[in-house]
Amino acid sequence: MRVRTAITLTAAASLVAAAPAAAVNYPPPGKPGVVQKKPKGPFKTLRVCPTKQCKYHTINKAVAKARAGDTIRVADGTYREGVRINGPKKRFIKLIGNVNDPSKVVIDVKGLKGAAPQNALLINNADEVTVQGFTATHYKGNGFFVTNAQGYTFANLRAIHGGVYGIYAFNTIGGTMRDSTAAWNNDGGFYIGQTPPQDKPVRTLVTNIESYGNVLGWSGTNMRYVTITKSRFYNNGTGLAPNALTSEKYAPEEDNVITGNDIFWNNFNYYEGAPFELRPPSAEATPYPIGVGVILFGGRRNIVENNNVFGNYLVGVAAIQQFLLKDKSAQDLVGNEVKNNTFGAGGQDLNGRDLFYDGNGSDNCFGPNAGVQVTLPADSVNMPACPYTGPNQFDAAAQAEVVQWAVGDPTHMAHWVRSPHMAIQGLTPLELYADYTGQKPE
Amino acid sequence: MTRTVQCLTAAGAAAMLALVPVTAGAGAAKKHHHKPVKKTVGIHDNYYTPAKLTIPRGSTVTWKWPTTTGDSHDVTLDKGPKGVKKFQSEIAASDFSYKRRFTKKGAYHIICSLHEEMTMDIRVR
Repeated sequence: MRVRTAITLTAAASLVAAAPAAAVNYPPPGKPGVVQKKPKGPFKTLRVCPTKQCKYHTINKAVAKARAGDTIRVADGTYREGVRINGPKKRFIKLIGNVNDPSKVVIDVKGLKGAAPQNALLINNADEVTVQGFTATHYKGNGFFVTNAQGYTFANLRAIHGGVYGIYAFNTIGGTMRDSTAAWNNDGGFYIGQTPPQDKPVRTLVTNIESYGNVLGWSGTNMRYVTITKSRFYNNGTGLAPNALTSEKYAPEEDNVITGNDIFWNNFNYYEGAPFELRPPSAEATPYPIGVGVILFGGRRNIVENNNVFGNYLVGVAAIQQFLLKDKSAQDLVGNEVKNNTFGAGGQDLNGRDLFYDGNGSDNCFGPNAGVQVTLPADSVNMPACPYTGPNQFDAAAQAEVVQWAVGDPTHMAHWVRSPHMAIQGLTPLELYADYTGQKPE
Repeated sequence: MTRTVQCLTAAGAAAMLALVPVTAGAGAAKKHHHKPVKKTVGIHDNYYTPAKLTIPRGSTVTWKWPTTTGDSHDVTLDKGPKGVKKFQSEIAASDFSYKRRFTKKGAYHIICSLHEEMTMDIRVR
């Protein structure tokens, strides 16, 4: 997602006007909706290793030979190839590296030319593929990427120091992401986008992931039916950003649950230095604010609950109308709930502000939450407790103030309210990369 | 890597052959035959530039991704003249190009499969 293309009020009109004519008559999503038949077998196991002990020395050669449902076991080592798993004939394949230590099976595309380095691993139009136990690095686009599929499992993966997204599912129905890490990506560490609306929704479960050092810990443009739980988002520019954008189909994001996560220290000012290449500024790009735990940028029926949110210098949880969306009927926040969260770690690690809400839309509610000390607007009069039905109370001045956080501050830190962080074993707070004493990528 | 995939159909080939002058009297037809050209289209977040092209039959279009980092995009044929096979480039972010030769007259609607608003049109005459 590119929130940065969107967060500006003053520039909004010109951006919208400059955009090309919309309303493309796309065909329906290539794959989702038609379930690929589960293969019957018999199934084979193919083995890949970098030495001559195995029949296959590249993952792609094994994939080419594999039939639907087969298992490919990949030995420890570094593989210099962009892996492609394409089409229904590769459905239900299991690609297994080192589940106990994914750092030992590395897909490193550094220095490769052409298509190979764009995506370290790409699954397209193959349902229920499992990828487990790998590290991807130096990709120009995405680390582990699945698109046009119904069902997938990404587990025990590491997407480290890459281009755009670390672990990414686009235009998919259902799936699992678990026990994985994404770090040092110049957009979302994790990203589920453009989920097709479904009459009988198939939920996607994301559990026990860790996302740090990214521009966004989690991006979720037009994401649906996703539950994110038992995970940590820290040291990103923004922790999680479920959002609605015109650039992808099926806006806005809907029916997501963010529960039971630790969301903290998302104050990485990558503009002052980062191990990844920042996208160059352009007429359509405006910076998005740094120092945010969770931002709902538009959206319906999202639930943010039972999370620990602390040490984010701008705001812990924010909800703002997606005023740039071309489909005006999908701009408003509707039925979102922010409740039962704990802010500020019991006073040990405060957010700059705990809650922000511009009062847009209807049926949105905030609370009860523990530890809330500072809100915007300060009187929190537009933040009714849950459950709540009815129109909310819009505050244009509050919305304008937050827009200025994004577009009116060249330092990206002017609106921060800093507090001391509490110590967390094994972690180092990241604000400026040059000063960061934690582990940096190679 | 740059891929060149030719979409020369039998009908297209026949049409091209029909334009080849076989006698001096065919000179008038030659006058109206435009030579194939090479065009480059830039890929950016989230647009192609130019977004419209008109090219003679047999021309080659090369899409070029930026050398600096950008979002992932591709080049997908959404709609084209009857008989032309659909095509799709790699989904790429930077340092990539994709080449296609257009041998059949008609209108081609190109999309990025990841970004709904990112489209372009090519008219082959």
